[in-house]
Amino acid sequence: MCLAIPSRVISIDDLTATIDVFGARRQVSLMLLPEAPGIGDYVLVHAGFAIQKLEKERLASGEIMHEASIALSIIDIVQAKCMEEGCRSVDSIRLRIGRAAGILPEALVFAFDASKDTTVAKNANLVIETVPVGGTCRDCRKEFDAPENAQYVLSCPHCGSTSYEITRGREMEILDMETN
Amino acid sequence: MKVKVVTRILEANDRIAEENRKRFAAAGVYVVNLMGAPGAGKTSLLERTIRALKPHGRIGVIEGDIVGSDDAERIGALDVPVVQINTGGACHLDANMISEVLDEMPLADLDLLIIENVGNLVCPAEFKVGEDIKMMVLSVAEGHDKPLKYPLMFRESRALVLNKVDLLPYVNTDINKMRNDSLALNPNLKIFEVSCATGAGIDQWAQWLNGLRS
Repeated sequence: MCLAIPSRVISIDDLTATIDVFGARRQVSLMLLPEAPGIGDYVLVHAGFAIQKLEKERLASGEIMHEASIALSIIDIVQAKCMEEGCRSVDSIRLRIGRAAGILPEALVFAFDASKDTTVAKNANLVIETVPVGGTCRDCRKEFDAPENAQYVLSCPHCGSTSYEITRGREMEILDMETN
Repeated sequence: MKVKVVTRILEANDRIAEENRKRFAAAGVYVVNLMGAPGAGKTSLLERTIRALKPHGRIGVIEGDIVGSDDAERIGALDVPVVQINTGGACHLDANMISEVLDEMPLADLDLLIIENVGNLVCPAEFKVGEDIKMMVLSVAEGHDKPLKYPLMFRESRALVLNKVDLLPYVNTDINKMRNDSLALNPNLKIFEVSCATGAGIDQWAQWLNGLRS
């Protein structure tokens, strides 16, 4: 993921805006923006400053952040599949995303929602199944999962061995979709 | 109606990466995807590496930056073919961006192509571009917490160059922890300690890279 997070402006008081970032409220400075955004606009926030007003078109062009290019790839794949299957619209798309895939699910949903308007996926929701990082120990031969949010393990949780193979947690795939 | 898809999201990228890889293989050029944070010393390592390896083979460089051509100018001054890609905001190079500039690179005349990725410790690790190996530069000034904070790039890399070791007396970095955590994430990682400022360690690194290629 990339470090500038798109955030919605809730209210503005002079050069300070209250923003909503995936449900959390924060105050950011508007000092670096050439002109003030409006309520409801999205801005990119980095280190407490709004650094750019976000144009929806640029977001959709995949330039703004990492998850946007992933969202566009999802839409490409879904459109191709719909052509193939002859379906007109998609209600939901089920994804499997590994914890160590480098994807923020919230940012992916945001980017997807901002990109889907003119496509066959315009009414679709993303349903994201996250896959914990896991593997097999080469010494005790047991399977293991890393703790829930961990992106890595340093030793086998069963026997402490540092010889193991990571087999899960990098997934980034579309499983299926509900269409009509 | 439920429609099965079961497709990797980055499949399109991986397909183009595979085409690039075939093109590189047909031209007999070994390709390195060089990653690391902004300021780690990617371009400085490139300059040192080119100087060390120029007598041993022909080298080309693709420079990836969000904007600007400063890096390409630095590399061009060493009299090797260089192409600059500006991603215009994107945080990584992808296979398509590389594919689009390959015609500008005299691949058949090259032994080694180094692709300097956009400065970023996260996203570049996820995108194949058709390389033989990924590698990364981490400067000791970035701190020993980096391997466990950004595990993916360490897992994906074949080599880790720890740069700026001349600064070790001035920074609170435990280089042993840096090494040990990196190896815990990726036991096959080959680690080099260098200083691009003084030239320390460069010969050993360049020799290893040259050995991989040939």
